[in-house]
Amino acid sequence: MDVLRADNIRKTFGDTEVLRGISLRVKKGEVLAVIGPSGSGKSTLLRCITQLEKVDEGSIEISGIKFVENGVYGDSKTCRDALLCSGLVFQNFNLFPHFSVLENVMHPPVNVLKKDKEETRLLAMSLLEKMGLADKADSYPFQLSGGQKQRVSIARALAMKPDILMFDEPTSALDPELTGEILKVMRDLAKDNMTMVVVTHEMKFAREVADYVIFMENGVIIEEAKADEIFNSANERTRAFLEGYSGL
Amino acid sequence: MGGNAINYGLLLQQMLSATFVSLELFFFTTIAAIPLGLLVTVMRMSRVKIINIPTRIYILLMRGTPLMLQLMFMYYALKPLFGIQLPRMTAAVVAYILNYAAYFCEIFRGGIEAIDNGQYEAAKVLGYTQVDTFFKIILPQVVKIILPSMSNEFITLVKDTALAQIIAVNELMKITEYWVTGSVNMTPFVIAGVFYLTMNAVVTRVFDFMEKKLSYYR
Amino acid sequence: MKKVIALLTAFMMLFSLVACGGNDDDGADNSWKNIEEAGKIVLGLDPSFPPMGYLDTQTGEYVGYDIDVAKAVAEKLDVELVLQPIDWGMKLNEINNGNIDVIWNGFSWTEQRAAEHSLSFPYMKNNQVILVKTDSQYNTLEDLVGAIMGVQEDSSALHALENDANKAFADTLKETVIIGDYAKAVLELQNDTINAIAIDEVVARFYLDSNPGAYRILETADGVVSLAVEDYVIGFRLGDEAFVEKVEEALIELSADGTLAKISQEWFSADVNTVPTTK
Repeated sequence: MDVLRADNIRKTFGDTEVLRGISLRVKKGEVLAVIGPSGSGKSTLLRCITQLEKVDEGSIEISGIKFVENGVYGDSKTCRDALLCSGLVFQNFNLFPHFSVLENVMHPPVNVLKKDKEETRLLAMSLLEKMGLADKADSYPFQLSGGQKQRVSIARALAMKPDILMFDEPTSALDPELTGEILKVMRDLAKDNMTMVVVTHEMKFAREVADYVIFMENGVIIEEAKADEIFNSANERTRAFLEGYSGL
Repeated sequence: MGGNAINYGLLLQQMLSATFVSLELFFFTTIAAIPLGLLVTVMRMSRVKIINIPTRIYILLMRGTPLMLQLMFMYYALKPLFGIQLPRMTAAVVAYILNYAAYFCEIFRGGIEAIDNGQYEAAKVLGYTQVDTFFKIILPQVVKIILPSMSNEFITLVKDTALAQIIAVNELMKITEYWVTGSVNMTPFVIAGVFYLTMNAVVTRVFDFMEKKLSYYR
Repeated sequence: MKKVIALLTAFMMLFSLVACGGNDDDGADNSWKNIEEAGKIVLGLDPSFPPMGYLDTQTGEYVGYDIDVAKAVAEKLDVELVLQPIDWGMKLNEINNGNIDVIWNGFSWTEQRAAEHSLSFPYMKNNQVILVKTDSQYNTLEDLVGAIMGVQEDSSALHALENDANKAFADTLKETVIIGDYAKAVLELQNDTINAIAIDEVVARFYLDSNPGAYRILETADGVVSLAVEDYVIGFRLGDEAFVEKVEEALIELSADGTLAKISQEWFSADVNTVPTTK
């Protein structure tokens, strides 16, 4: 079963066509990595799927809810239902600074999904424990390192129990020595069969964790294949891009 | 200097009751101008021109003309123009509220625009409604940002209450002047200074307290 | 922005003129009937004009010659007297909007005021004089060449300085400073930021009494140097003739029975009132 389906998405900013007919499928439990040079439209793709941007053309369906069909958006309830089936982890974390770590994780389920407060507290604590942050529950975001902040933001997204979790360059704002802790968390999530779409520059991670890899350039998908195949690709442009990354 | 003896007990008594008038102006203004300022902020930030443009004109009028002129307008001009004569105190309070709401609006707007766009995006992706996003995520952060500017405005308002004397509201400064005239003695001015200073010391303390309260995060 | 202010001010002036007259729409003069029904006269005063109307720093009440006379008149007319302090510069707006009924606070007769108000007959003479520091070198108007003169805003002393009779003198001054009220003018005189004050004689005498030896009124062998001799009158809303008549009748009665003379003695140690004793 496909958790995410996107068909022929087009998106233009001013005169620049950023997405030029993108289609993709993600099955339940799959990890899809999206790679490509800066400005290739990877982030815009995620932002369209999570409704931070509106597509001009194309259709998107999440967990069977088609909230946009051929560029026409469904009613607000449909859009919201689709939104609540997905989660997004930002490059810059975007934690709520006035909430403690625990509140950051608890507040959305309690306020948005009207979940029971005590139940949510237990869920939040178990998620924080999983992230190795149980002792930071009462800290505030400004007291955390970048890696810790990103783990809180992953816990916050998971607390909403999304069917699919998207990551927009989750390690790009971190010092190199801190990226490891985030990648480990994501590896664990993959092992737990979390459906994920990861926009990343971490080729090693893409190769080891992703089931499929999409290579994008100038708003189109150049190549789409299993991870091993991409990294041994015969495609000239894919090779040229990958050669920029050493140690592969 | 010579002059007529002052009955200080009576002077203090009259100054205190005049202070009460000044405080009344202060409290009514703050209580009403904050919610009104918030509403004006929403209208000012609206992309609908028919809402946005009149709001801009209102703000321009309020900030661009002297408060004293607005007070005079509210008390003396409404009757010949519209046949409405507000009582002195009401006219003064209305003028202050309209004036301060415009200033508050611009402070609120500055605070709201200082919030990182990522906060809105995170709230949107997590499914918060627009109202919840504003009141639960954005506003608490705005409050912290605008506290120093609001403290400034409140202190100014305490002193601006003296302007109400132009429409013969017997606030602290005017009463003090009557006593200075009657006694040909400047001492009441000094006492008035102490009164204003005391009021603003309280305002400052309250804001210090709030800033401290909100210093738990950055 | 100047345009906006000018526009607003123009509006106010225009409409305050339009709104003149306290009569009801039917055109009849109901001014006295209205006062009688309300049971009170609201007297607008600038309590910084001693000894006509000011704040007594012993009792905390508004007192003065005008206040005492007004009280006697109100008693005669069997209505209450309400004292409403106003900003002197706003007095025309206050009376036209109906916030006050009379301006009775050392209000001198001028042509302009006669056009803007209904006025009572004169009840007292008023002299516009010059107040200087005792130890200053000024003795005559000629001595004041190049001096800085202080005067209260919208006062009859200011009008006197501006009229043709005093134009030649006013032109010899270095500057005329218009000050909010005479209390501040006296402070300025004390601090030498002004050299002299053009002021109502009664007010000047109050300051002489409250600070003996500090100031003097300009005087020559011919007597007090006077810029203008004027009459104090009571200001009413334009058209309130019935009310004016009632107040004048009461004043005449009070003059005839000696009440005004008595009040005048208390305040000025002389009978200065000019109210006739018969109609």
